[in-house]
Amino acid sequence: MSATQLAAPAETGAEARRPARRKAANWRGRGWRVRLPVFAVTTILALLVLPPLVILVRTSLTDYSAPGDDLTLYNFTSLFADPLLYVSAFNSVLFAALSTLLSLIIGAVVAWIVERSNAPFKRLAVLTTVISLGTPAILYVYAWVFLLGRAGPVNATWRWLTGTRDNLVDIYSIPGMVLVEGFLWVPLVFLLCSATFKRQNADLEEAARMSGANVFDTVLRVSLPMAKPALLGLALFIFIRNIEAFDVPVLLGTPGGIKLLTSDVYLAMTRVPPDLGHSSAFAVIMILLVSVLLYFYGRVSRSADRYASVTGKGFRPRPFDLGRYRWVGGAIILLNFLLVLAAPLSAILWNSVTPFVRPFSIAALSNLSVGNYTQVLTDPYYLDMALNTVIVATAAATVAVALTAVVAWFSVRNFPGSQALEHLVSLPIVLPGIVLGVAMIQIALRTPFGLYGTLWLIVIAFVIRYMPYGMRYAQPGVMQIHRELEEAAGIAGAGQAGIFRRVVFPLLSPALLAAWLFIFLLASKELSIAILLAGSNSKTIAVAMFDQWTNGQAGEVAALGMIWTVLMSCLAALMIWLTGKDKKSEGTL
Amino acid sequence: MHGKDMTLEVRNLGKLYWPKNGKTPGGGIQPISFSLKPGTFFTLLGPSGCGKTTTLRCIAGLEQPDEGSLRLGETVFFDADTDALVPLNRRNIGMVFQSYAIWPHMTVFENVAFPLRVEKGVKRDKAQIARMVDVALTTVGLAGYASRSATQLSGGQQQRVALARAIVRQPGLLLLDEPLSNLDARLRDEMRNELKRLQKQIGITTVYVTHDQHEALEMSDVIAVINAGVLEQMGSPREIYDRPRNAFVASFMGGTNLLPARTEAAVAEDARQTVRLEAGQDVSVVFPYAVPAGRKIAVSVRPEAVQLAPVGTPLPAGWNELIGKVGTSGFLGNMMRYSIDLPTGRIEAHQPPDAGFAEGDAVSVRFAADKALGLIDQAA
Ligand SMILES: Nc1ncnc2c1ncn2[C@@H]1O[C@H](COP(=O)(O)OP(=O)(O)O)[C@@H](O)[C@H]1O
Ligand SMILES: [Mg+2]
Repeated sequence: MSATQLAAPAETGAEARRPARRKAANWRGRGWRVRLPVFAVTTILALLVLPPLVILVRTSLTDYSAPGDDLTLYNFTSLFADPLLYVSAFNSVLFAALSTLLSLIIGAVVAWIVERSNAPFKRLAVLTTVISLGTPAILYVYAWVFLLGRAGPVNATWRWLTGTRDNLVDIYSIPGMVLVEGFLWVPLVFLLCSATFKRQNADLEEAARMSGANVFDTVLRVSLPMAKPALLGLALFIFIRNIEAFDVPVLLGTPGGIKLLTSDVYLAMTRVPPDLGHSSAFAVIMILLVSVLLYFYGRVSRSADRYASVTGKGFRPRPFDLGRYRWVGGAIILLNFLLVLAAPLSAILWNSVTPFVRPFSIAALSNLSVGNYTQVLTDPYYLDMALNTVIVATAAATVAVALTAVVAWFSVRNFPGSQALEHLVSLPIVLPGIVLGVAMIQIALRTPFGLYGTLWLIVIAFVIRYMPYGMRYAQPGVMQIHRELEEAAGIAGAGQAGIFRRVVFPLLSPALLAAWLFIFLLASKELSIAILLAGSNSKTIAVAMFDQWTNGQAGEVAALGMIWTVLMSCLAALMIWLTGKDKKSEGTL
Repeated sequence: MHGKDMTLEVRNLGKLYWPKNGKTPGGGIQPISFSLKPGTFFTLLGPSGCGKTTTLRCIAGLEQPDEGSLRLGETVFFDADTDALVPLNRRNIGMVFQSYAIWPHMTVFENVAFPLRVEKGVKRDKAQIARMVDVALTTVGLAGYASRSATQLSGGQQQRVALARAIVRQPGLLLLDEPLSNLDARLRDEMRNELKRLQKQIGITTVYVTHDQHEALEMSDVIAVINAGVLEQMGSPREIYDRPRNAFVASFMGGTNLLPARTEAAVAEDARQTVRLEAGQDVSVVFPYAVPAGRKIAVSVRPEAVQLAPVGTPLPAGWNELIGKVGTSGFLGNMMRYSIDLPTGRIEAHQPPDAGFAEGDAVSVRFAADKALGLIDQAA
């Protein structure tokens, strides 16, 4: 055949001849066969994610004191007219900012020492992190109340030393709350900072050393500026989490008369009768605040990616030799271990083996007992709570991970009709736990079947809350799978379902398992949602601890906490080990 | 669909990612047609980014063409006019990807057995699968590797696994996208022969993509040379090397000297004609294809066809002569490579290793008229 004839360039015709309809066609298939699964998943996500938002906005615009269903701005006007809002907002911001600063300083310094220096005791820092991740926040708060309370060892020692009757610290104050909240976040800051420092290219630092800079100059002029965007992003992220914080504001702020946004929402909800309109208006304001912060977080973390200095394979950061200061680094790690783990944990341990609350003392050593443990282990009440928690956390983690695995696959591979999926799945980030709780109560009250007070309500709320977390693992996981691996399976004869089951899912499973453990850990210690949604038979461990503590059963709370912490720490260790193995998903927490 | 006439029929198949504009060529492939008899080894050859992979992916079903039709034997894979489409997993095609795409979570056996297990409407028992996998692995020389983890294999072995997986269910068509480009030079030579042998042994129609003209020349029955999404020439390796359709094809099929010129009158196919180079000299050249009057052409002379002699040496009959000065010379072991400065531009000549021209010497550059091809030069 004549080649020139065939090759006649179609400069003018090509564009016009091309049917536009086929432009987006994709080898995954066409028509309802691919669109239906995508549509089904989109519908499920929309049904999960949109109702809470819609209902919050609606109730915030309803005046429950006046009859009729006209929408009004009454709740907002009364909210803004109340000076309390401004006090709470100010307190929230102050509390969040100071706590963020505290956890960032400790966490980043320890992470740098562990990742980039030759200081001793590095494993201790990892141990601290693992166990802290497994410990419910309420237990920490409880421990610090014991340690820094009026009769606690710190104030007692201070009084004994100075001979005065004044206390050194008041834990029911903003500084006290900041101290506790700050310590609470150190482990996660440490984990995320470690990922950042690990990625830094030591060549750049060595270039500075070769140019004559000493260690401190190098850190100050090269390492820190390089890590700055990542640290700024992290700071914003922790700040958002602290604005949403629930445990510390309610457990320490409320008794001390200090109001924050989250505790205001909680109080409005637990008042009799609950003030739905008021708390919804509060919730909407919190959503707006968080959304603004998230917007900035998104911008900062995008620019942080540009600074990542990993340069391909064989990359290994070399640690700095701190020389004589090696032991200073070691001491800091040790101090971190004492403050973040040893002190609170030994306080809990002490309380769990003393029959009633009493300060540390030699005299008390003589009548230690394991009574609390036998009580916890034999009482069917606690067993039920533990079972509830395992059911809720397992169900929520499984559903969230399964959903996000499919969503990540659809959206990373650009399935037809998958554009909305990514936005829907990350939408719940804007909902603080307590806000989601308020929304879910209202949804449950409107459902004809008895959803209210059941475990399933909590499961649904947890799925909504933790889907974005699952996505953070699943999305990079799918991106790591070379697209030709899927194309080869298609050519070999597999359909889309077969490709997912036989190729994508097995390759994704390490990331999914890490995601599952992470969500399981978070869900099993989550308090803010569970406390609003729990019925008398659907309490989780965290709620049970809260209840027992307010009832004065401190010893049992402590014993329960010790047992739970040991169990969860094993899971946390497994998760950290898995994420460490899977290098690319490092720091995606 | 086995046994019968399994001709691959590609008609006006085109796919454009973006249209051509003043500066850049269009991304993708302009309408292309060819028809391959069963057992043909067909090569798509062209520089990187010219649209070879696009063409291959359209045949595989990984991309949907904008226009044209595609048929293997009786089965219409794709037809833009009737909107017919067979999804890729029903086309029974074997493909080896550039990255090999070996599934890392499966053993060699599982990788190769995959196409047998997922085939729709065919149930095979364990023994049958094991037998077919064994045949495929033996064919590619990997007998005994079945239980290895796919990630423990060397590059060459992974390549063989990919090949075994592609041929295990005796597909109607084999597609290979630069399968040798990730191997080191020695292995590449070895695999080149191996692939060719295998293809002849199985007798499978094969579409092979490469940017390496040596690979294409050695392995193919038919070569299609593509440039910037446009098919420039299609034919046997010898035809393409000896009678390139234009200056691009000549230069892409191994280094050549291109001397710019212009036709005064129309030239017939296979005519021998004297043309005036832009530098002013008259040379006698052969035109393998007809060229209209006033067209810009290039006279293509391969470096090995050029001879150098001291100025004044008598010229054999029917030869052309240009006078120049030796610019640079290099000793390559089996030959001397000279670059000769002509009044306009330079010309490269390969001479026996004992040739002794010094840099700066005036030399006579000579070549036979039937070794000088007058070719259309579109680049200008
Ligand atoms: N999916 C795509 N989207 C947009 N442009 C593409 C796509 N795939 C290929 N191209 C473009 O089409 C042209 C041909 O690509 P390709 O067929 O891959 O070339 P090659 O001959 O090197 O295999 C290139 O310019 C490339 O950038
Ligand atoms: Mg290519």
